[in-house]
Amino acid sequence: MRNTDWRNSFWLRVAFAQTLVSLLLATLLFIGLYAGSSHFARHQLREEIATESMALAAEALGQGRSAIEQDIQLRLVHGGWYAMRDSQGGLLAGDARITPVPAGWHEQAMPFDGRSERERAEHGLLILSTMLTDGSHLFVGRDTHSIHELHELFSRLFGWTLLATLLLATLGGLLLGRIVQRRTQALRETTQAVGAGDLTRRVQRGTRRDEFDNIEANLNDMLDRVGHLMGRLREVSLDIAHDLRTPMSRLRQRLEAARATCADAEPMAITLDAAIADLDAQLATFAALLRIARIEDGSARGHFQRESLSALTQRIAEIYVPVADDSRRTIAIRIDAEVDVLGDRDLLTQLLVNLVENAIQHTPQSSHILVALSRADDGSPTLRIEDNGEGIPVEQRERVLLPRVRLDSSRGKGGSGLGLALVKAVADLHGAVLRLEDAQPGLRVSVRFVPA
Amino acid sequence: MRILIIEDDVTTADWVARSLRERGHVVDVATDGREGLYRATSGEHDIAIVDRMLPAMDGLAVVRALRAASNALPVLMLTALAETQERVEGLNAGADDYLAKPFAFSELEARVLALARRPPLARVETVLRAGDLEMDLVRRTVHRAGKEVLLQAREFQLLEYLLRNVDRVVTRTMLLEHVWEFHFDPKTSVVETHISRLRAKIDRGHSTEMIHTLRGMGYSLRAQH
Repeated sequence: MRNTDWRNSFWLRVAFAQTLVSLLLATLLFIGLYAGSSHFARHQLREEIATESMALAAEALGQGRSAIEQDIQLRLVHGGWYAMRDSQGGLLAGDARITPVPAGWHEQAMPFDGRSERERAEHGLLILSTMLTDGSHLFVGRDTHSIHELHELFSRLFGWTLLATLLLATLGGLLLGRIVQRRTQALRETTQAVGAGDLTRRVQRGTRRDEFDNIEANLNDMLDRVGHLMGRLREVSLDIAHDLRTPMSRLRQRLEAARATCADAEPMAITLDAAIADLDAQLATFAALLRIARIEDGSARGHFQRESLSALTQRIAEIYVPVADDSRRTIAIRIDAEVDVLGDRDLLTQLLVNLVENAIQHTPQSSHILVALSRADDGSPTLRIEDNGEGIPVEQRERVLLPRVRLDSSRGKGGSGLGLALVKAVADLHGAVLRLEDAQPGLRVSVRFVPA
Repeated sequence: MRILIIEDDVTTADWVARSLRERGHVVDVATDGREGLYRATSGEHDIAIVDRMLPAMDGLAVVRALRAASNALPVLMLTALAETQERVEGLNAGADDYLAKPFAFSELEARVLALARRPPLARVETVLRAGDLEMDLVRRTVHRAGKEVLLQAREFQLLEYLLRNVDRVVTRTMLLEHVWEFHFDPKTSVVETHISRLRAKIDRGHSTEMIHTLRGMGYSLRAQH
């Protein structure tokens, strides 16, 4: 993953938020549950105490004090806390450790003897004091330990649940993140490739028809549309280039016919020759444009043959040694034998010629040019044309590979501006990688072919 | 010469026909493939100039039909684009040479003349001669006035092509295609450079120049002045 800062990662933020929300929910749920059950337990306890008290009070009313004293002794055996005191506070029956309190509900510390501090804290006594008709008090109590135990159980459970929630939520968040990451991977890759200029890339569509699939479908539709429009634009430009050739050819024929009627030295002849030369330059540009389009359509791959790139490179380099010599530049040749490629001989010739001519034309006098052919470590035939001229600044390297139509030849150093674009088209056709590099000083053009 | 033009573009056909007639040739024009094929089989012509794109029957089919009928009439094919594929298709169909539109008339004329007078294919020469220049194709040697001239392989090839077309005009494009196998227009003066080097070796020290530059047309190797 590229974003190490979690704040920059959408899915990590989602995972974090999800964990927080889950923890909050678990806490709320627990608080509710705890409050409910604790209330219920206390209610139950009071109910029990109240029932006991009422039964004993009814007994006292009906059968007299001695019967109830016996009953209290009996109930004490079964557990629980009971006591009865007369109106002066004297113990009539039951447990003397119960502190006498006025009528109503009371909570007291558990009257233990010699128990640990911790145990003392865990127990308590809930007392209902009832005043009977003769002014005596009946005390019925229960140990609140069960409520305390419920508390303890809940806090233990709460801890575990929080831990489990934290784990599950984190896991879920990570999982969700991974899913989002995976689902957006194709989108990311495709948009990146398209951004880099490959308009033919499409997203591999999922089959779920969910939101992601929708976005993918929309993106593909959008790319189709863009591609279609660009294709149309190209078609139109090519159609124009193609259609203009016929009237331009006729114009050329008329100019030539007119030229044939004048003698060489006449001013008219000079004008007509210049007009024909201009027209030829434009026709050459159109021809080069159409040629690039033809190369780009890939149909030439159909008749690729095994060609000796060594022999071809050697031949072209040798042809240009005297040309370079005449323009005061030198060509050094360093070519490995028996380097073959699968390709179109004419187009490979054009690629070599364009690169060598480019080196001759765009370097200052007395520059050195190297034409080298070798095999890379992985066996790919690699052609290098190097010079020690001015080179091309990094920011312009990509631009010089794009077709730039220069119909007005006075604006540039001559040429249609399509030379390197043609080289790029030929390299692409052959699946070769074209690179412009800094030869320090100068330009190094390398073409790395696929091994034949 | 009697020349047949099979071309549906009337403007081009007229221009080529008129220009050829001015040079003293007899020219017939057919504007579709079927009519063209019919006239080509009459046996009256020395060469046919055939456009590749034709109504009724395209140029390739015309040439194929001619060759199928064992008709050896030299054919120069005209096309809109000079891509490898088109060129190879044209030559495979049986055309003898190939010219992309638009072209200069001098280019067309040079190619027509080179084709029409091409010696029969069966004759295999081992020595080419022009005046006091002699080329031995087996030994790969060249002598001028009895003295050996040392040529590099590429120079030998260039001279051989000029010798085979002695006294005829060869255009820059013809040299590029046949000597260097460049089926496109290079930006530098490749042809001029090599011609001037060859000229230095062949003509230097001799009173008569053999390699001539014809401005706006091309080059010519001439036996006599």
